[in-house]
Amino acid sequence: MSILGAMYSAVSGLGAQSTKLGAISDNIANSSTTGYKRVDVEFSSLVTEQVSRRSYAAGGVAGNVRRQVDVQGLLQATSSSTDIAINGDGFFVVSDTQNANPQQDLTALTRAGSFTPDDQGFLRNAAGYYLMGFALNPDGTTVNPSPARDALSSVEPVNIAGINFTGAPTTAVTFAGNLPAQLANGTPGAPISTDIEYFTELGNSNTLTLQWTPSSDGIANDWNLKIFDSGTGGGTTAIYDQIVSFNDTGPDAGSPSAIPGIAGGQLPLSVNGGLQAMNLDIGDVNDPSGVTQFAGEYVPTKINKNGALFGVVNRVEVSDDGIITAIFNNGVRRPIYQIPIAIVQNPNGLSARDGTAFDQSRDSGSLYLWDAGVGPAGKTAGTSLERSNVDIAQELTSMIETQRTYSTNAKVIQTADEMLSELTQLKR
Amino acid sequence: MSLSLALDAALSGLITAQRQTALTSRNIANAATPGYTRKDAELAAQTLQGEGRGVMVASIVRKVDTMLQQDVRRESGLSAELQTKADGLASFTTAIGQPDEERSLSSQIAKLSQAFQSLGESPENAVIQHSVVGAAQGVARSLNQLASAVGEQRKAADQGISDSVDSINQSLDDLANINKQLSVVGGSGRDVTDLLDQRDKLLDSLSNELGITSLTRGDGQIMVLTQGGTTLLDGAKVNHLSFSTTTTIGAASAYNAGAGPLSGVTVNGLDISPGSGYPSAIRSGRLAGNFALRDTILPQAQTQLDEIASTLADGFQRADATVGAGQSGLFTDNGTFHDRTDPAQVTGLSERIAVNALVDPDQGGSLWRIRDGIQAAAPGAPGDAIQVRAFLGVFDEAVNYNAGAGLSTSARVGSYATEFVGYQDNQRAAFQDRATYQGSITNTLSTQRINLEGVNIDDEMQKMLLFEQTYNASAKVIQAVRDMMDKLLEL
Repeated sequence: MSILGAMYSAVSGLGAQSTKLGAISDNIANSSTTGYKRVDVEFSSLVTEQVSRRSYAAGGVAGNVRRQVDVQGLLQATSSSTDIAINGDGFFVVSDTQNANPQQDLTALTRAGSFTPDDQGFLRNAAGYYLMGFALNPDGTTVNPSPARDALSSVEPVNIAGINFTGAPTTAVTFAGNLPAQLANGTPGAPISTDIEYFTELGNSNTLTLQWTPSSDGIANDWNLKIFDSGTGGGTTAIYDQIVSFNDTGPDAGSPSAIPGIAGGQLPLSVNGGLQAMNLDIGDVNDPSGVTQFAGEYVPTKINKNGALFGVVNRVEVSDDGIITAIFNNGVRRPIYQIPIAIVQNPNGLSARDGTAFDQSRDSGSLYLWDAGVGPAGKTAGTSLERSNVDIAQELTSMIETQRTYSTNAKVIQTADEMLSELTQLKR
Repeated sequence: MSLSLALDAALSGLITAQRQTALTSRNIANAATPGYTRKDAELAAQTLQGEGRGVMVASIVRKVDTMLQQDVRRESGLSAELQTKADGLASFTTAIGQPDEERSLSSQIAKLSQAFQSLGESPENAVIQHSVVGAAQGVARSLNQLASAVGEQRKAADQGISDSVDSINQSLDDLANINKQLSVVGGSGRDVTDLLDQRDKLLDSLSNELGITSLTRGDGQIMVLTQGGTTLLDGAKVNHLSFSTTTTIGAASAYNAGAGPLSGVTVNGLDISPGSGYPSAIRSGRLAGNFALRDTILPQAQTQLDEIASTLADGFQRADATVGAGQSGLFTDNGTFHDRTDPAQVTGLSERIAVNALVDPDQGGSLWRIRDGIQAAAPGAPGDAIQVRAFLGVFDEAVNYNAGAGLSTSARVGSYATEFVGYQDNQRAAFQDRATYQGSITNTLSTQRINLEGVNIDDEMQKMLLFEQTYNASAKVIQAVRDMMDKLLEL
């Protein structure tokens, strides 16, 4: 009976269109939800087997709900340094609990990166999920030397309150300058000195004094370099006491001709009572870029060093490779966590859950944790958020279309009804 | 999605125009602020995943020429040094007066010589005797006053050094603070230009006090050294200068590389004062000027005064037949005999020289001693002018002087005094000329720097027009998108 078939087909059309309207209304409602992925309803026809070519049995339509998880939303800049967006494919791994190595059912994937530190320093997003990452050593390597990449057993909640203090010892000092050649005429002279601050491993500030004295050995262009360290014997005994000679002729005139103890352009020093090793770069032999000796005045031209005083965390920043860096008030930057980017085979197969997050499902495939910006994984962008990928104009257009289709389906039912009533009126 | 994209891009245009307008308004408001440099916003197209998403302010930059800054600092340091010397000498030369002025030392000595001349003509005249004593007292008083003026000026220079040291230490502390802030905010893309302005201003004021070299390290912090390479500031660590003022500075107070009672400027125990013997001592700036005044220029004036005082005391002792060995003549070293061969007695004599009480009726002396000799036992014949003529010989005698005083080594005392007054005035004028010349160099460079770094209001107004147009156009785009959406909703 084709009329009834047409009626049922139209009813299935009504159902499919109302499903679509439901999806549209969800999309519009979430059009400004961070990390929201729009839901689309795709239709597919239902066909009743045709027994004869002379009559048509109407089938109907089925709506298939699909979430467009792989479509990126616009990134918008924010002013919070812990707002993170993924520019490219992949998800943040988040958890319901602040425990490390959480159970599978407590973890989720999300692209909603509006993370802020909570009262305990954990980074949580607007839905309350804890951001998970690999803890890093100060040198940037992961604490776990080979973190599990295909499971969530190595990630732990990112906590920025855990790292409070740092001090970095000075291991390299560079000094360049000119010594007045007219003073080094082979007769003893008064010393000239420059102080350079360095930091011990405990974050103390000590002073290295480079003292240059025209040598009394009777040879012109010889300087007695004495290095004093306020951390060794109170700075009264020199930790280095040698004659540095300078070329007085040839293409290398003015540059050092002999620096006792120099190796590879570096003068190895043992400072802070012998506890700390440090390389002093005063330029190599025949190297005009370090210490030189020309007629003129004593002028230091370059003093550089590494290391820093004791400091506390001032703020954190996220770089595009997913590294969360703590910035201390002494200027030191130290990587503290790496945020892995989870990639699944079929992101559209993830099942959505509350809080703009997704669960792995059978359709999604298994996950793999990539470093941000490596392989298929997108880069992380600090001070940005991913907006919902809903386009209002598109939703409005779909809504109009849905409404029209719905009314047409209803019209089919009405027509079928009228035809049936026509039929019933044949018998009086 | 294109409508959202259009909205986004237009919004970024609005935000950028707002930030640029804010920057321009900051520039205009600070057009007359000393040390403010013009800030410009550098724009960059915003791309996400390779697609254009509008515009953003990439960074806020200031246009400065570090070489020019260093030139200005070096020259202004020299300028400050010369001006300090000229100013210090100006106060002193005001006390000295011109050679032909009544109060000048040379006029006082000439008056004494004239008084003796008159006395030679009428040796019995008590009124003239009295005027001789008065003139002698005038000379002694003038020498005393000048010596104390020297002391006061040296004291002022000493105080000036102390003020400079305080201001340098304060600037260094402020710079250390800025270094700390820069290390925290630097590299985060935040606007640090105002901090850098502040830093430049501090470095400018520092270079007026003493010659400095500043080295910028890799992390954006600066290190400040004296021109001679002594570290003053290294990151957050300040090596303060130390100096102690001296309450009273007399002729005998000397610095002598730290051996004298006067203090030098030390950094971590190292004396870097000019004259300390440190090969790389302080150069230029107010500090160098005040050190030169305190330890070289004014002590030389003191030596010249002492030479004049010593010549007078010695001359009147030798010319007086009644003065025996170890006895004082018309002028005394604070009441006692003066030995010109002993340099220790010469030093500071101008402070102590006085007219012998034996000739001063106010102190129980007798006027006739002017005629008969200071140490005479009894009055001689009233018309006897032999001793008076001998006294007059003092003014005609060419005497040898200490070469260290910087004037003639052999001259009559009157012309030596004239030379002294002229020398000091010339020296002041020379310093003033050099300071004016140096000042004009500094001004030229500063003007160049202001032209480069400063705010040009015309430019800013023209930019403002441009921003206004950008803003309006972006707003128009938003309006168009709204109209399109409205159209859609009307369907």
